[in-house]
Amino acid sequence: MNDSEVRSMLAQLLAGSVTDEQVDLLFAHIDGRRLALCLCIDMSNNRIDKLVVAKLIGTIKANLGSASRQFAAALDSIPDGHALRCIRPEYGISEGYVRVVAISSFINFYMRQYVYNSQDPVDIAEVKRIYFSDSLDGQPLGDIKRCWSGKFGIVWVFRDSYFLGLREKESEHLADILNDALGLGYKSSPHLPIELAVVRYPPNFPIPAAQPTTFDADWDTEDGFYMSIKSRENWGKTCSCTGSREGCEERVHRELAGGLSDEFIGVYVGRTNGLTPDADSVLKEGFRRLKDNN
Amino acid sequence: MAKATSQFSELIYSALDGNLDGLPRERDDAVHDSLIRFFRTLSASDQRAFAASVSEALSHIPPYLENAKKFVTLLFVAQIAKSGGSRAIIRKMLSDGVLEAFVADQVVLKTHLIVTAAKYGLDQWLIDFIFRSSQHSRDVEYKLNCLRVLSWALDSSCADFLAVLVPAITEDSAKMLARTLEVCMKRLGCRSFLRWLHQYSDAIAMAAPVEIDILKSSLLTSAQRLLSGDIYAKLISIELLAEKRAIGADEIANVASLPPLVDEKELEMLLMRIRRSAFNPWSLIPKQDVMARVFHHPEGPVLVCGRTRAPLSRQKQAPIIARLDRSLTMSLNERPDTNRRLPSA
Repeated sequence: MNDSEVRSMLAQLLAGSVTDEQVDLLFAHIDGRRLALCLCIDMSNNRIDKLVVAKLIGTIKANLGSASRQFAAALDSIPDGHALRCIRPEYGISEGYVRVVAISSFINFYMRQYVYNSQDPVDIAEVKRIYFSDSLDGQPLGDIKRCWSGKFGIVWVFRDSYFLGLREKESEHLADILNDALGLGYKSSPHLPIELAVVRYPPNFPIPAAQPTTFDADWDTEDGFYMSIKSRENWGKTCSCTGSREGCEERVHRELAGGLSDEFIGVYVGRTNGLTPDADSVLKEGFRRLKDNN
Repeated sequence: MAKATSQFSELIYSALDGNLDGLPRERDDAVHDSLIRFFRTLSASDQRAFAASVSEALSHIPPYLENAKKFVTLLFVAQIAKSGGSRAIIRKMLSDGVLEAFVADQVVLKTHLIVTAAKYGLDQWLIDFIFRSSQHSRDVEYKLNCLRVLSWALDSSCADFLAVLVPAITEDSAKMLARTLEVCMKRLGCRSFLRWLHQYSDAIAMAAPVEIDILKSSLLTSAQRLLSGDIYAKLISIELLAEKRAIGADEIANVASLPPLVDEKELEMLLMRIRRSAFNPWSLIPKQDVMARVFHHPEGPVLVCGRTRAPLSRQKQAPIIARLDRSLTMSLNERPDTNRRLPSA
């Protein structure tokens, strides 16, 4: 598989609803190429609506910058756009889910009223101390009453067993491995570090979750690592940022409006040392997934 | 320098308007994250110029509601990119009550100003301002922020602030209270909090019994997480557990043998309070002699936290033992460490 095959497939799937020029604009930048791959995979699996895709691509213009960001803006502007996200969710798994959070993001989302600074090392250390423990027992997070969500009203999660297995085998470099394998792609460096933690969900927590699609991914931020995959028991699969690690199963669920309970616990993971992403390897993985699809 | 300042000003204003081009970004970054990341990549002289630009923006952007979000960002940036100019502007805003009524992105600007001002250092003016502004407030979140901020002064003002905090405490705020107390006690050590308990908690409990109970529970939670690093955390824990009648004689004996690790007067006060709050049978032991002592009972060793001037006669021991609180009685099969050095008479 290559770009020209993806281009033809996309044009065929959208069957005259968009112009060749608009499809071509996607291939001007690596994020657009990745977007085109994801769209092909999801449309050929009937996971997303071709008419909606055509409408979104139809908004892309030559002189308005990155095609993927234009796609993101168009998606964001759809009324009731949240209905396009986290589609066909199913009730859970007996083990719990796990969400990875950067402590700086946790501060920005959940500590607003306590005015912690997500870039102040002292504040980060305090939040780490009071919300995340080094042990798996963790810290209960029942006082997080703000809506538990991420960008677009959805939360990305993976299996607790994956986290536990990795933690046992790779405890020393756990943050770096998660950063890479989950496609988080934090570029942190020693003087601009990112500290990661996880929130472990209670087992059997009754929340419907779904395999993610192109519409769940963030196309507004450049250099992402999301890649769609054919339907597989309602689990997606992450894509390693460097191409050197196996991805892991992932799902998305809708926000928890009332926040968390004490059954949710915070566990500290560690400090990432950054990584050297290989965007081409993500595309290669995409080509593989598209080929497997057909 | 001047050129750099104007370049930075342009970049800052542009970021405040949502244009983050040219700034380093990580996923989920807020605007201030990107600005601070950028600041941290600069040389020392450029950092000074950048900080001056932040100060300029703080003074030039009109303090209107529609600009509240910009001030949230700028104040976060000013906490890291510090300058004398920003310090003065922030204090002026604080004292004038500018931005006081605004909330943006769930950040209360009044609180943000206090925290930011304190990150430039706490002096008597700011400490007094914090006490003044909190005195009649029922806003527990504001007060918890103040409590944390006061711990940066590294003196007793944080513990003293508990009296101001108590009336605002609610059941809902208990967890955050415990978290904040842990941060403060970790930073300051637990001694000033024990002293506060001894000096003020009884009087405050008369006016706010429910609130003081929540405070004590939170203090206990926090102290128990700091046990390994602070002997005064142990003392707070023992005292508050004793109130719940939840400690054993061995623990009290441990405490009683702590000198010279802790101040003997404080220890005596603690033991007196434990005796008063938890163990009525101790009323048989003279108040001035409350210390640890081991004596033996025919059925096995019994540890009593109390020292009498002379060994008790068997006749006097019997009623004491009969009435001893269960928590004061060690397992009859377990011999106490009679070699432990107990405070001498």
